[in-house]
Amino acid sequence: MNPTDHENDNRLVMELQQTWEKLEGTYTVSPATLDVWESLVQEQRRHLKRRLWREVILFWVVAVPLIVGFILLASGLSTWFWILQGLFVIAGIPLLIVELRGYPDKGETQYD
Amino acid sequence: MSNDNEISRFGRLSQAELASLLREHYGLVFHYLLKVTMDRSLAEDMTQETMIRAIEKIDRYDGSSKFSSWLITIGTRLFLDAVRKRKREQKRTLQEEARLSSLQWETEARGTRWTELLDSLEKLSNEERMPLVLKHYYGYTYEEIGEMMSLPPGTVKSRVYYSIRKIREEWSEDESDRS
Repeated sequence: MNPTDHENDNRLVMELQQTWEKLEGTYTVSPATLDVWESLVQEQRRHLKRRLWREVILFWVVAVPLIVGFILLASGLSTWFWILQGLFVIAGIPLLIVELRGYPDKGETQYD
Repeated sequence: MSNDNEISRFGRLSQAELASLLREHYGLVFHYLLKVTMDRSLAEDMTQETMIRAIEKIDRYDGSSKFSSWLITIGTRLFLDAVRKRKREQKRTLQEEARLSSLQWETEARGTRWTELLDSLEKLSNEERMPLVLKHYYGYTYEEIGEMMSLPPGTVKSRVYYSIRKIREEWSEDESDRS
């Protein structure tokens, strides 16, 4: 790169910086009051806690039938195993549907 | 930055501390996203999304970087995800074109002249504009930008180089037109 190119690039970068500064100045920001931010943080933390508990419960809802099933199979109680598996499927499908419906759709519309 | 030290020293922040920290950085994140997206309403949405993500992930912030850099990284990744998703769904449309000119309209309505440079910046793709802003406005290194954008530093360097080239070509054309 010859010195003229370098100088031109530096000039352009300086012009760009000024342009961005002007753009910032044009769109000044006045954030909401601290109370609003505090309630946002509170609400998000509450939401996060709820989601965590839901995930823990879901984990056990899946894990318990598996553990009980293995215990029953190991004890040779295959009839009870199948009855319990059937019950868990009947209870599990509506739960799965509810869970899938409740899952937030983070599609592009959120950014549009 | 004293706030960064506070976070690393005290670990989990109280509700009021976090709220005040986010409020303090709201403008910085918004202005960064405005320069990158060249779309005011999208920048506002992405800023809010960034703040929500920051609240969710605050426990993972270890104070090894500035809080502002951490927020900028979240905003960068959120925006890149949105861009990739839109690309996948092939929906870069008239709506997007209209948005671009809406910034010009709004900027002029606010009394600021829409320069040739803003026009050139607008013509760059998001992936080109982002490293340019991070490098030449915020002063991050190529390595830091690479980490933010999940790209090798060499790729970042060439994107910045070619963006400058592109703008310079248009800029010199405009200058020669004027003279």
